[in-house]
Amino acid sequence: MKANELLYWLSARCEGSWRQFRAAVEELYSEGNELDSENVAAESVAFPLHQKIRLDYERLAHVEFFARDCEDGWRVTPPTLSAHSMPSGIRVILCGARSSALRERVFRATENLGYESLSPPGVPDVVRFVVSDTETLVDVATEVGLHFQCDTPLAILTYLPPCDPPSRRHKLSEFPLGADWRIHEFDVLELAWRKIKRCDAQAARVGLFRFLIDYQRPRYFLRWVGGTFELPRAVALYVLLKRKRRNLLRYDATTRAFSLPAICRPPQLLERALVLCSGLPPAFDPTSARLTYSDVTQDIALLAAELLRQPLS
Amino acid sequence: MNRMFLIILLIIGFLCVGLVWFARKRRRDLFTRQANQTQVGDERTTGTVFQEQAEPSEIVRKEQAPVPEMYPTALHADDGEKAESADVREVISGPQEAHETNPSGVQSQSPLELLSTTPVEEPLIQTGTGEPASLEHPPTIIDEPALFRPVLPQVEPCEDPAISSPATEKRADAVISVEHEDPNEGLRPVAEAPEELAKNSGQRRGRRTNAEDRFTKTGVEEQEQRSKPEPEGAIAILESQPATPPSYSGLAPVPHTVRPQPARRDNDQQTSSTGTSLNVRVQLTFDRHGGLRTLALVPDRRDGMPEELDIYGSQGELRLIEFRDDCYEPVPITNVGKTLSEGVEWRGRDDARRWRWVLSGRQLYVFARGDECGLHGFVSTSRLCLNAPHVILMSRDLRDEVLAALAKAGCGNPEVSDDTMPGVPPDWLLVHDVKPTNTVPMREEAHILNALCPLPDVEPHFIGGIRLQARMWLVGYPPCIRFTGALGNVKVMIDGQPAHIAADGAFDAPGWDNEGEHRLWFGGQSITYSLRVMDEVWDRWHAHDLNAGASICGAGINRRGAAPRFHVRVPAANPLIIGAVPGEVFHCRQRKDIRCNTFLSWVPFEPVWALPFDSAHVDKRSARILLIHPMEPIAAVATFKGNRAATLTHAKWIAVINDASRKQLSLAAENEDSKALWCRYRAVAKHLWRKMR
Repeated sequence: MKANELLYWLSARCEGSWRQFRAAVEELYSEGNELDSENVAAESVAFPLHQKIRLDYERLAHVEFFARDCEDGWRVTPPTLSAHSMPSGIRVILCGARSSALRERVFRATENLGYESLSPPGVPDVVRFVVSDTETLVDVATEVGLHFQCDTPLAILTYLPPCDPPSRRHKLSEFPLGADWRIHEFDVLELAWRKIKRCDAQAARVGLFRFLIDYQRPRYFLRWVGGTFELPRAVALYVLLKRKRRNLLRYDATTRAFSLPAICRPPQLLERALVLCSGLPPAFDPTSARLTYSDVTQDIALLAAELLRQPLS
Repeated sequence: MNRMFLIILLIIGFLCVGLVWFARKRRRDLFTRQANQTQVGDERTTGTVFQEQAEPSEIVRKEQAPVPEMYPTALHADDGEKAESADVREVISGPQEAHETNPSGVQSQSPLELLSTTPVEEPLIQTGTGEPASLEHPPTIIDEPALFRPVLPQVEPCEDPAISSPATEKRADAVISVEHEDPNEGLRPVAEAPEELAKNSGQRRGRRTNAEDRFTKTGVEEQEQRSKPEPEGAIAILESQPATPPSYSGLAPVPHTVRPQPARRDNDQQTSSTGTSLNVRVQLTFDRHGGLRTLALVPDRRDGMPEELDIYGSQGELRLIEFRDDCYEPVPITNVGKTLSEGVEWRGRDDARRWRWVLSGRQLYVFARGDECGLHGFVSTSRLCLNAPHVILMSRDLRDEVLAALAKAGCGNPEVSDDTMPGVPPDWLLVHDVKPTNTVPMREEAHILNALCPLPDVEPHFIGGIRLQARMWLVGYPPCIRFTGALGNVKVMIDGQPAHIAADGAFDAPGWDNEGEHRLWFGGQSITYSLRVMDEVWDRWHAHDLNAGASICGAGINRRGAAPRFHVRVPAANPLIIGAVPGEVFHCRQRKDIRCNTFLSWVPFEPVWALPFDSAHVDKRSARILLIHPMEPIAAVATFKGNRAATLTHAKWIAVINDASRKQLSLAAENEDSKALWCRYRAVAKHLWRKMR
C-alpha cells in the first residue's frame, strides 16, 4: 500500500521540503497501476493528490507541515501512543513516525490487547488497541519505547483557541489588489461559494470572501463590522456561521458520531482531535455532503462544538 | 563690487552647467542615432559597455572603448580606482574569473576570440526599466545595488536597455539550429547543449568549451544574421511573439554502446548549469477505465534555477513551480492535438539568466513508464526499449506505417484507440500495450519511425521500493532490478553471485536485498546500490505553540518549562486537586472563554483527589469527590513553623479535606477501597490540624 510506504519514507527522511514531499508522492504513486493508487488518483482530479495526502497525514498526526521548525516543508512527528478514554476502555492509536521494526514491536506488545490494524483508503494503516487502564498503557509504552499521550483529543482541544470574531487587537487587512483575483463570497444559507464582484465585497459589512488567483493559495477575508481581516478559512467560516445563527453540528450520543458539512471542515488541529478519537479519517456521505467523525465521546463533542461556537444538536 | 563679482561668477557657473548639459544631450542624441542605425552585432565591436551609476537601479552605458580594452580598464584600474571599485570588481565576475583562471588568456585574446569564448547563455542585467537586457559580452554587471559604484567617467543613461537582446536570441537560436541538425539527439534535440555547457560551466570564462566550439562553427551564420539590419522594436516582437517550435526531424542511427543509464538524472552534476535550452517531456496518465486522464508537459529544471518562474510561449503566459530537482510541475496541455503536432517553445528568465524550453512538434510520440524517472503514468522518451511497456500516440496518417514498424519490433497486436476514447485528441491514435521484443536496425537517415526501432542496448532499471537517496533504498523495500534491451547472453551478477530472473522479470540473487552496499554486474558494466535500515531517532519539538504554556506536536502535548508536571483530566465541577503529601493543593483554572464539562490541566504533583472548589458551600446532592489516582497519604511530614507559606499550604490541604468531610460529600466512585482511602486522608488531615494548633 502506497500510503504505508510513504509514511516509511517520511520516517526514514525525518524532515524535508515541500518539494521533496511532492516528489516522493509522485514517485511512490507512479509505480504500476495499483487499485489503491488509482482510487486515490481518481478522487484527486479536482484536488491535488499531494494536498489530499498532506491533509490526511496531518489529521492523523503523523507529520507536521509548515509548522514551527519546518516552515518550508514537513517534519515527521515522534511515534506516540495516543490514548482516548472510551466507555469500553482506553483506546490507543499509534501516531507519528514508524518503521517496520517499530510496528512489529507494537504488535508483539499488544497482541493480547485487542491489537488491530485497519487499512482505510489513502492513509497509512491505523494501528490501535485497547487497554483497561493507564498503567497498562504505561507498561506498553515502556516496553515498546514510545511516548504516550493520555486523553489526546481532550488535551488538544483544551489548548485550542475558539473561533471568535476578530478583536480590536487584530490587525486590519485589505483585499489584495489586481484584476486577476477571482472573488467568491460564502453563502451561509446555501453553504457554497458564489462569485461576486470586488465592489460588492468591499461594500459588504459582514461576509467571508475568498480570493483566488492562479498558482497561489486562496486567501480568505472576513468583513466584520466594516473592517477587513485576513483569517484562516475555518475560523472565519465559523465566525460567520455563528453570526448568521446557522447551526450545523450534529451529534449522536448512541453511536458517538459527530458530523458537520464537508464544506465547513473545522480548523486543522481541532479536526486532528476529532480524528484521534478513532484513528480513522472522517467518513464522507455524498448524499448529505457531510463528514462524520466516529467514536467521539460526548465531552469531546461538547468541547469541539464550544470551540466552533456552535450548539450541538 | 563684491556683489557684481558674485553675479558674474553665478552667470559663468550657469553657463558652464548649460554647456555640460548641452554636450551630454548631444552625445546622447548621437548615441541614440547610432543605436538606431547600427545593427546589434556591430555593437559588439564598438564596445558598448553597461555600467552602473550611483543610482543603483539604473544601468547606464558607456560607449567608445572597444571590448578587449575594457578588461584591463575594469580589472586593472589604478590603485585609487581599485579601492573605489572593489565591489565592482566582484560583480564583474565574468572577466575577473577569466583573469583569475587564465590571466594571460583574456588580455591576449582578440575581440573575435573574446566573442567566441562568451558562453552561449549570458547573464542578463536588470535595467532601470525592469527589463532584463542580455549582455553580449563581458564585463557583466548584475543589478546588485550595494555593489555598484561608478568606475568609468563619461557615463550615459541607457535609453534602450534591451538593445543587445536580439543578438542573444539569435545566438541561442543559432545554437539550437545546429543542435537540430544533429538528429541523434532524438527527443532532446536541444537539451544536450546546456548539459554539455553544464559540464564546463565552471570553466566557461576561462577556456573554450565544446558547446562554445560548436557555437563558433555557427559563427558565419550568426554573423550573417547580425549583419541584417534589425528593425526598431524587434526586441518587443521577439519578446511578445512566441517563436515557432522546431519540428522533429526524427532519429538517426548512433553507434551502439552499452552504457548504464542512471536511474534518475544526477542533478548535482549540473550544479553550475545555466542552460539556455531545456527539455519538455510529455506525461500522460490513464484513469481506471484505461482512458486518458491527463496529458501534461513536464519542463526540465536545473540546479540554480528559480523555484517559481514566469514564462511565456506557445501556451501564453505560465508560471512554472518547482516540482523536483530536475523538473517543474507538469503543465496540463490545452488543445492537445495542435500542441503535440506543432510543438512547444517556452521562454523564461530571471534577473540574470534566461531559459528556453523546446518540445519539437511531431506526429509520433513514444512513451515509457514514468516510474523510472519518478513521474506518474507514462513519460515521453526518444525511442522504444526492448522488453519494456510503452504507449504510442500518433497522428492518424501514420497508422499503417507505425503498426508495421511495431509488428517488426515484435510488439504483437497492440490495442489501438482512436479519438473516440476520452482524452485522445482528434485525428490522433493511441496505441496501448506496446512491448517490443525484437531489435530493429534503424534507417540510415533521420526518420521519424526510427523511434520505433528498439536497439539492443542493455540498461538496468531500479524500479519501485522506498528510495531514500539516489541509489539508496530502505531495507525491506528494495527496488526491482530490471533490464531493457537485448539481454540475451549477457550475464547478470549481484555481489558476485549469478542473478536469477523472477516471475515478474526482476533479477535477484542471495542476499541482494540485505542491508549494505551491493554491486550489480551486467555486460561488462557494474552499478552499485545500497540498502539501509531506518534510524529510529525522532525528536519532539514545539510544532504548534498555542501560547497557553503548552505546544502540540503530532499527537503529543508538550509543556513549556523544565519542571515535571502531571497531565490531569479535571471535571469542571472538581477543579481543586490534592496530592498525597500534605500541602499538595492545586487549583486548576478553567478557561473562561469556553464552557466545558471536562478539561485537562498540568499539576505539579501526582494528583490523588479532585474536589469542588468550595466544598463547604456546594450542593451536596450533586457535588462529588473524585478519586484520580489512589495513593496513600503521607502523614509523617514536619510542620513548618516559621515558614508561613508552607504552613498556609498545609492549612489549605487540611481545610479542603476537612470541608469536604464536614459537608459529607459522596465519592464519585462508591467502593470500599476508595472509601477507606478517603477515610485515611481525613484522618491524616485531622491529625495534622491538631498538630498545627
